[in-house]
Amino acid sequence: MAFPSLAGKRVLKGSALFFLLLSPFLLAFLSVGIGYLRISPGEIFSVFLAKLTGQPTDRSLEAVIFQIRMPRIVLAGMVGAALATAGAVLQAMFRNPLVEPYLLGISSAAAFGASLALAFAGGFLLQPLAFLFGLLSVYLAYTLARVRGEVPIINLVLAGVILSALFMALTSLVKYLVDPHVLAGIVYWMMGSFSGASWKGIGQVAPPLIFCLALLFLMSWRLNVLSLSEEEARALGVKVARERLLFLTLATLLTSLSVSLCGIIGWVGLLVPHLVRLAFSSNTRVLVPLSASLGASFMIAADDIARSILSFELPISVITTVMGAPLFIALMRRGASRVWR
Amino acid sequence: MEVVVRDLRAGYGRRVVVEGVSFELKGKEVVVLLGPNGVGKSTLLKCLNRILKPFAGTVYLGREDLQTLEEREVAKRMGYVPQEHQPPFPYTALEFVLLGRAPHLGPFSSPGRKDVEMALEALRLVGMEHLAERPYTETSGGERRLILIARALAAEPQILLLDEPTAHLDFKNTHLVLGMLRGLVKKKGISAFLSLHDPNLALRYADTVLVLNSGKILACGAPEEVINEETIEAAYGMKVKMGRFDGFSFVFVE
Repeated sequence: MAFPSLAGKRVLKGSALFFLLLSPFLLAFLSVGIGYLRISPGEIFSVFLAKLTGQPTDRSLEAVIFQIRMPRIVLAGMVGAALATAGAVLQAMFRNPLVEPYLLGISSAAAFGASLALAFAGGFLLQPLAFLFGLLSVYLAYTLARVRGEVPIINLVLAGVILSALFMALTSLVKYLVDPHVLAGIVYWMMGSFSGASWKGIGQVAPPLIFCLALLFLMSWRLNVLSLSEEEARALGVKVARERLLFLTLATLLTSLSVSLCGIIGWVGLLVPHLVRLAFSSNTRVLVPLSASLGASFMIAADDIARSILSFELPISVITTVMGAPLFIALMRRGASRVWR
Repeated sequence: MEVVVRDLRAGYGRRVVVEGVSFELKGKEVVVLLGPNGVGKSTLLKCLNRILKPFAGTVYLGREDLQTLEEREVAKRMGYVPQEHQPPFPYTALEFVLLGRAPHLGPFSSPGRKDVEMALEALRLVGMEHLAERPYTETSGGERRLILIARALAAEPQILLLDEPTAHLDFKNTHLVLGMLRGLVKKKGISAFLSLHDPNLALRYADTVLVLNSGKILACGAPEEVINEETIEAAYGMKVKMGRFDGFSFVFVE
């Protein structure tokens, strides 16, 4: 049993859980073969083997696999895991299964930062600006919501709505002022894409991302306690304000890092944790790791579709939404009343 | 463990709800707080485990001043059962009771086998172990109240604080919950501190009764001494009569 603290029968058997946690890696391996140039699993395997043993291989095949596809798949997996985990954390913390990681205005603030970079600096500093504005939005939301040393959830949500609208208006202003060529760049960025993936970019972002994920896995059970009312959590000895801030910071970092890497990708952070809740458990000890692995798989699969169904690449957000909406409807019709009360 | 409260003043924002409250309780007993709506019963309860910080005054638990204790240490000693509970997610009863172990676990640790056993034991104590795997959201009002009590018991507290544990319960469940509580207090040698609305329930289940009116203590003592026509009229502003039947005292309205 992987989670001894859980009531055993209703939770997954160890082997099923193991498979689910490993699924992103399996899917990543298969995804290497998908794209304009089809590569069979056997070929992929032999190139990997040759690379490991140092034997010569097909140069172009090697370049496609290691320089183009793998960074992209790794990036998609990381972003999927980050967004789904952030969504799971925020849903539990805000006591609402319909919360998504962009709740506190991260997406529109990051879009504003990115549009500034594209409009006035030719795309220079795009990622840092998107990241910083995302953080700024959450910081402002938190500060605005704070009353007498406490941060009521409702205030936080309202502040997020206000800041979201404000940054969206500012982005519209930038879009209105720039020439059509730059405008197209802004619109394209906002739809999200993994086409800019590189090992260098991954190397910069992976350490903080993995650090945040690891910390959240460690604290995943504790999140259950924070999903109770503030009064109850305090009666259970939790320093509510301090721990809320910690979870909020980690979720924000994950979301901002993702947005800065590949733009705004909707639905994953809302859909994946929700799916895990309906199919498996609301217990955050299960929810957080499973959301991470299913989020990674979902995003890798969505990106496979984005770059393979047509001769040109489709915006990833379109795919995640088109894949997500029917899935969500099916879940809603089936057993949503168990989760939505 | 005895509880000593001295000159407690508390409220919300600038509004003072409870003022100049002092009392001493010897422990291992059922203490019932009586008083009309809005008189400060919940406020007083929340000050005891400091989920509400009082403006002034001290609360001693044994020899310890609560102010000097960490939140976690207070939570280990005092279990709290809230009045209203809206569960946000469908945790199973066992997962839910397991949350009661939080005061004994750090932010980075998860409950182990021992914690699960203690949670199951707490469910057993309230007679709800058959619901361990049932989603908490699919239990009845009475069962839910008992599961909440189990969650508080899972921390192995010395004192249970219960904010109107009989609110919204039917006649049978009211007596089931209070009977269970009284049994627990006697069996485990802990104290229960609860607010109620019905003086007859206090007469039946309390060892000590505290009557609160406009944020002050009106009377404190054994139920048979405290609950009489004068006190009830002073507290609630209504005329009642006392009766006796089969050795039990009761309050009735003519």
